[in-house]
Amino acid sequence: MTRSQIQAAVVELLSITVGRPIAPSESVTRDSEPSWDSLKHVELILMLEEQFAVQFSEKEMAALRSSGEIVQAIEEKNAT
Amino acid sequence: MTITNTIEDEVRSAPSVKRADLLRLIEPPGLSPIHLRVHRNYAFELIGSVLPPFLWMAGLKPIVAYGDYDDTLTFSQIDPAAVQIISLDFERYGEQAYSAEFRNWFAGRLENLRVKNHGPIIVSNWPSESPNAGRFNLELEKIADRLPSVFVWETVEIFRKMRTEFFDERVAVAKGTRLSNSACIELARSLGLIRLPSALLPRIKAVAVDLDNTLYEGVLGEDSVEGIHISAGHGAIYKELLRLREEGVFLAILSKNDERDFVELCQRRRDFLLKPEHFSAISIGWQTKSEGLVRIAEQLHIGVDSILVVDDNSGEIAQIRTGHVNTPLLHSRSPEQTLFWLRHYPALNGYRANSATPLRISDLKASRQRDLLRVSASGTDYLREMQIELTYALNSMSSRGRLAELSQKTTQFNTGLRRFSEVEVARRLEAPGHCTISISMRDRFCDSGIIGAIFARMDGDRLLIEEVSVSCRALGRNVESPMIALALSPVIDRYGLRDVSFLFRKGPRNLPAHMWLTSFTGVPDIADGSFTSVAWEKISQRDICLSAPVAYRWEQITG
Repeated sequence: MTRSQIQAAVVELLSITVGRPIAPSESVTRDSEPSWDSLKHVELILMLEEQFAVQFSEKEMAALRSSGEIVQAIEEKNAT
Repeated sequence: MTITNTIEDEVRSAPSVKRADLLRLIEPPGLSPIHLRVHRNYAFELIGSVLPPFLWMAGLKPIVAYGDYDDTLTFSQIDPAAVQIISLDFERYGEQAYSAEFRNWFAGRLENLRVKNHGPIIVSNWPSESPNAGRFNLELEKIADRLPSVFVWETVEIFRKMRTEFFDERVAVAKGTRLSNSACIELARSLGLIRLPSALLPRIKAVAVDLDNTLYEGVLGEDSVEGIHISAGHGAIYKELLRLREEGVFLAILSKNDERDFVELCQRRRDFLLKPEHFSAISIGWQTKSEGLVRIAEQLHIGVDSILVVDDNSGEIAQIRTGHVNTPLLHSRSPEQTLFWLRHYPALNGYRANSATPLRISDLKASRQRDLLRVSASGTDYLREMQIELTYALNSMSSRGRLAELSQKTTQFNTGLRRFSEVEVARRLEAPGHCTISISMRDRFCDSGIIGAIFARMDGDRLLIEEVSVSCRALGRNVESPMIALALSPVIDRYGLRDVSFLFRKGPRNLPAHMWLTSFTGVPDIADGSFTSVAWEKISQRDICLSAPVAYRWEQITG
């Protein structure tokens, strides 16, 4: 899976999570998105795990706070 | 509601559906809002967020309110009319939960909630195969039977199917639950498609199935009896249909075919487990499916909107939908898909059996024999030859579920159109000055069980009759007036009452009730929406009714 494919899929899942369309180039962070609360974050992680067949630890879950960090974490998991 | 082969229906029936696929589905218009209050000690939100796409299938839009995590079930936030859902992670209680004391405490909390709220209560059981969980679940079943409108949400079954996939302890603390993502989705599916619809909606009364490419692969008229293919999946459908029949759901055939071919199929193919006698109505011919459906409804004495039609042909499905917009439809695409929806179609499964359930099918057969008798006899001769026996009970708590069902579901003979929930019926049964009479009927052809209910209360020397409900199955035997007069007479005598006062409300289908009330009271202008009072002595048909040739007895006249 290429970085742009991962990016597109992450953006789509994030838009489901926050309930609004997100442009591919838009950078979304938990701090800037009030509806991205802790429960939505768990739901997003579950969807990412389903979509990319990866698993996140509790520490990794807590560290993922923006669309960019999520894309990077998935790339790293795919590489290993 | 129609289940076709849309992507949405595939998503909802997929064995391993993804959370994102469910959350992408778009809410359909025209749903009825339903308020749910969740009492929990874990993050039920992961079930709640994927519940709507399943409940939409039943035409319901959930509005979910969550209390704080509460192991002690204080029920500090209660909406009296909302559906209450109690879902606990019992492992959080440790060894405490193994004791009889815990089970008693839990029963007490349910009783407390029952008093505070009059909506249905859904309580999840303990998803574990440990003996302690088994004991708890058994006790929970007993409590649910004892309390009105308390329903057990069968999570153990899902646990058994998923086994090691059910829990995911990996990030349990961060998620707020030990349930795995896939378990949350399966739980939402069972709650949304089965548990909640069965607690809230009247049951679908019949399943009308097509033949070709639905109950087997092939076309009977072209491929012949030997040429059609019956797979293991079709066999599973037959068993599922027979299970539904055992539960009191009528089976019917709705097919464009030659009936002789169908009879030959039943006789010659031993792997075709369904037989003509399993079907309470058969419409096989060359009329439109809409017309055939109406014929089936007439044969079964039910409305077309309480028959689920299963058909492989999308054109036929569309044709029925055009003529009967409220008829539930299932587009049969494959045996597996059909089997799934027979097990999960909202308002078809998950219902508690009551005393009337197994009697419906035999009663329908008997009604055909009664029709023949009616042709040869008339008036009192007919009543006498029917050998009718009525059994009355006053304020019988064990019948509360059936009494509520009668007030809610019958439509031709409801005088007041009062719709009492099971909880309201239970409260009336215990309330001073209230009389609720159940009426059971048996005749020479069969036992019909409880077929009538009278909901009344005393007001000075008047008996205010808020509702008389008679099942459609009991109508047409010319026994309504004697049946009701014989029920009221001892109550009036016992309490020294003078007048009877009937509430009448006009509904879309209760013209027979209006006609009966006019004839029974002798009052020609029964007003809509108010009580019509008559002195009991002046009931025009009273003496004729009380001396009608029917046998009767009181089973319970206390309370």
